[in-house]
Amino acid sequence: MRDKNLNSKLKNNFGAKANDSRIYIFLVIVFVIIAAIYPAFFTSGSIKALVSTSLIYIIVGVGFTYVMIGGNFDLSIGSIINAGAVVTMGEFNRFYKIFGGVEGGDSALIKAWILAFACAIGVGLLIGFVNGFLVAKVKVHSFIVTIGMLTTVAGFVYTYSHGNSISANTYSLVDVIDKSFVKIPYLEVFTPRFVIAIILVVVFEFILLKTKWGYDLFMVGSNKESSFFAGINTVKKVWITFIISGFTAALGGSLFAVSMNAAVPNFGERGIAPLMFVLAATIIGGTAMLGGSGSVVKTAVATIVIQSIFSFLISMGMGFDAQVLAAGVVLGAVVFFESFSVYRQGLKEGERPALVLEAEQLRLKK
Amino acid sequence: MKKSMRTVFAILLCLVMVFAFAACSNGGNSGGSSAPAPAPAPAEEDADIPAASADTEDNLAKSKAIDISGLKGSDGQLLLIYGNARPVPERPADPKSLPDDDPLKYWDIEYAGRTTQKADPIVSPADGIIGKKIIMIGQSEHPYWGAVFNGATIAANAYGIELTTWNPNGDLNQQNQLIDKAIQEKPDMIMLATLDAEASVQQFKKIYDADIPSVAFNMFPSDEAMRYVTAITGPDDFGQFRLLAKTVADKVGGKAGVAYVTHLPGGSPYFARAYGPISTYAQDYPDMKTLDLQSPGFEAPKTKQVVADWITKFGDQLNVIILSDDSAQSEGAAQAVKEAGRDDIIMVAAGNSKIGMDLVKSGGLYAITYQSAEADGAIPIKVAADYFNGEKVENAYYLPQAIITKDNVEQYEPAAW
Amino acid sequence: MSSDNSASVVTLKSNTGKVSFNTIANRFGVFLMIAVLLVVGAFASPRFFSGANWLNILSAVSILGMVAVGVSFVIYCGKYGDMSVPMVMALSGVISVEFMRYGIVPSFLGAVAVGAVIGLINGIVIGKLKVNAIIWTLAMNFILEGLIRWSYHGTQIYPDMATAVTYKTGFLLPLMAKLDPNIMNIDLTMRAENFNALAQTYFAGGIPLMLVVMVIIMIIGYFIQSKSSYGNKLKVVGSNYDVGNMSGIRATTIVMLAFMISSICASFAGVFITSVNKVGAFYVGAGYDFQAVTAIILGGMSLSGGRGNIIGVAGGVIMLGLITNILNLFGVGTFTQKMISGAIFIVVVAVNANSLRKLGKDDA
Repeated sequence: MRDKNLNSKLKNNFGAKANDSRIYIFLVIVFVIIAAIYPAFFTSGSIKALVSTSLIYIIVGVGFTYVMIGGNFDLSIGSIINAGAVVTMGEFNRFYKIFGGVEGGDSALIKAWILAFACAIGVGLLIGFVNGFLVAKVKVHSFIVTIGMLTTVAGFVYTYSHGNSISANTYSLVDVIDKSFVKIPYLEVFTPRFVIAIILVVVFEFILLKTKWGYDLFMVGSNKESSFFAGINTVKKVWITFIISGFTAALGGSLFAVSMNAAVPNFGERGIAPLMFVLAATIIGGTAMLGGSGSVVKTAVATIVIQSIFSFLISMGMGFDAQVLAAGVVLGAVVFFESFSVYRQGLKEGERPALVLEAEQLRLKK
Repeated sequence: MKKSMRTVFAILLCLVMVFAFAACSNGGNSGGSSAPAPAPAPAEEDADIPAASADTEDNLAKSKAIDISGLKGSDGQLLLIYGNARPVPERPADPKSLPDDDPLKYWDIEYAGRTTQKADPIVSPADGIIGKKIIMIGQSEHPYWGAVFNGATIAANAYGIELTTWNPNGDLNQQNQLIDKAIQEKPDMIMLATLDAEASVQQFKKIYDADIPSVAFNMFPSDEAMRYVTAITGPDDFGQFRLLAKTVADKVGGKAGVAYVTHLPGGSPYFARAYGPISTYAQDYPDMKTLDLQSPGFEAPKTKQVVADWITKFGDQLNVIILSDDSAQSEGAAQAVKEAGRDDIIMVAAGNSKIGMDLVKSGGLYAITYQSAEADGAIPIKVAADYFNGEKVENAYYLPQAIITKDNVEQYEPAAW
Repeated sequence: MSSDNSASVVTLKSNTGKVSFNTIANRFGVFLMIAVLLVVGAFASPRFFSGANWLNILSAVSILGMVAVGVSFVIYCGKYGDMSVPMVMALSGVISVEFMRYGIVPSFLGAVAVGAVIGLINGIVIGKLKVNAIIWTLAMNFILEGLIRWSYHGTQIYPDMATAVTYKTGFLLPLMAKLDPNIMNIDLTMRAENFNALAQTYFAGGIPLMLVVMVIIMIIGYFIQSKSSYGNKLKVVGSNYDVGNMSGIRATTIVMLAFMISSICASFAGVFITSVNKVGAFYVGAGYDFQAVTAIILGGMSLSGGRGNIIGVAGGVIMLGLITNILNLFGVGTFTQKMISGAIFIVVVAVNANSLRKLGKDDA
């Protein structure tokens, strides 16, 4: 009897647990509310629309989460998305022409697309490499480096595209990228772009949770010095997170461009920028601001939740004011809740519940 | 191990929930919508059922009887005003390879859709506009758009249209989602002011594939998209700015140094409002020299700095400034000119906001273009009415081209937004 | 880390004769860059050194300057930045237009009061409850944007215009109209002119009022940050929160005040930018959050807190104005300007961080 009581008291860290899996609780709450008020939200078509809108944020969120787990920020993702987009389209047109255009047939198309994607991802990797170099090696604060990079890359994007949006000269890929594999309702979401996103999320979550590299990254994020003394190459770890972020941002951007068959140089300059969206999703998904914990899957789930809220508000006939207000309230509530649970934990620091309980029982006996 | 198991479990739970809700909502939905759905369907398809056809004819006759040409906007002026379409020159083989100041370089933006043959247009049911459900998707929440939707609502109420307006707030990704949502709602028509001419091909194709007719308003889509669109309506930005450029050139006697403050890069206004005048001058006024072109955005302090820098750099060579926005940009430019004591510089801008009108009155701006926001919203509704009433619909409808100067500013009072 | 520190101090002492590049870069930082820019500027245009050009440069950055002083307090206490700046500016702007009906002074006071209240909320949540500053202020920014858009239904408010809907929409205006129906009949022309004149008031030789206000705010900010006991406490808290807390400083209050200062400065900037634009709307402050951080970091303030001063911030603000000015004078297009100014920023900050590290002054 006593043991059971003690155990339950010792394990009474429900707050911390709830905070840990808050995004799933949140998801359930949001879905229940939406289902109660607006059941038509869950039709096959709107689920597909919801998911395909979220895809770019999910893909970009993978790298962003990695950078944040490593204890840094990557504010340049918005520009890298645009860079990936315009480079994909611009280079495709160039290569397609080189390979002979329409006369080149399918092989010219495939070659041109592969090269275009390679160029776009190359640009993303390069930007990530420079970011990582400045943050990890030169040791400038990531916040600053990536603000500077944000402007620089935006300038590059405009120069590259001459301020114009670029579209590919063929509709070869656009018809494929968002076409469902199966025509069964609710399985329609399985488009090539969705599958790519899922693979990215699963692979990178696997690396985080199952490999030594992932464990080490968590350690670097939570305490750089002790992980250095534990023999982890902290510079390399942080550097690689930025390269991953450059990769996912460029890939997200180029897939987004392909899905519209057009690359826009100023995507995200108005509205809630992808940066703010991904940042909010990552935080709501439970990644620690200062590094050391986080999950790619949770970021993806948080993206879906936020997008569901937006979509629901639109369905209810509310404007952008309600959406942005909801985003603020949710984000505020989440950080508030997080700090509150940390604060409660702080109060318990140094407390020895087993002893207290024993003392209490002694007192009761008397 | 445990952590990943929990994650997998949570995802499975989510999926199950989605399906569960989906099942409920499907049941509820079919039950709810089954009542009204069959009513219009036979009316459209089986014209030989006498009652239904009488209904249709009745509706059509009633619809045709509605005349909104005398309808007034919230500013007390005529809501429906059209401009004339300009003649279309022949498209050059590869417009993009032409030099920047060649007017034909911008053919794809300027004359998009005017000559396109529609492959297989969606045929109008021709059963009258009354009671039709239309979804209108705008661009952003700029006050201009409030006025656009206002104009559309006034016209829609006159026709008895069930109009829904949505706003993606300038975000292309959100606009795509709104289009998907709109298609889900199965309206009779979708009106879209696309955020990007190139991306609009995909957007309009999606609507076309869902067998819903569409109207492109405010912003002209690229040529390719026109195959899927019933009609385009909106301001003729290039025409307006070529006209504005000519007004200015005539004012200064065809000889001046001109600097341009552009619209945000990446859209057709960027080209229309800077390269429109540039190419007009290159062709007709060789002595109008382009000095510089900058994009400080819609921000007064930044525009002020750019203009002041120009005054420092070019001195007396700078005679004319062409601005893309008559609010913040013009206000900043006017203050810079005033501080430098260069009242001789002639400034012109796009749009007719209250600030722009005030500046024209006070002499800060020489001229602005006239663009009625409410007409921008009302004309697509009129096009929809023509379409559903079975009348002929043109490829393109333009807002009127007009220049507001100090002499005629009173006519355009009060400003729409 | 401490061993690192002492080692480098020793090497510095032994090299006192030689002045290394790192020392110069560290001590003069942004002013070195300004000197370089002055030389470059001389080539850009013969009129570069004219008074008119300098007035232009300074007045162009005066709104940014006001914001930067406020945000520098937040950065100085180690909290990275205040993302709610844009909407505090916008809100102060619309409030000042709404309160303009009672005169210029109430309009200013109203705007600053609203800014102070938001700063207080930010401060309590961040200072007392230790919520992450960036995320909370970002959330605050979203909430305020939602509120302004919702209360104005996407319209904007002109100082000199009152239509039928003016007193039905708005942040406090409907309430004001209910409490005191007389304000609906006030003649706005004069008052609007006074309000719009704020941005166009000039002192001797054409020095704009905005510039004067910026300089005053900077001077006051300098004294508070570097000469007052509050500033000292702020520095301790900024360098090490826990040490500050344990040495008897009420760290939570210190942080709270820093956020209030930031919001109040943003309110001033908001009133002026609204007066420049002659319209109050939700979009007026966009971009000033990151720009302020850029200027502050260029000015040598460290994001980890406790290092730098307002003189450096002033230098950073002027440098941003100078870069744009010189590039405009050279006729560099906007796109290339973005690339160049971004690259300059990264290089300057990297050199600065590197020199700090070489001198052993940073534990990064």
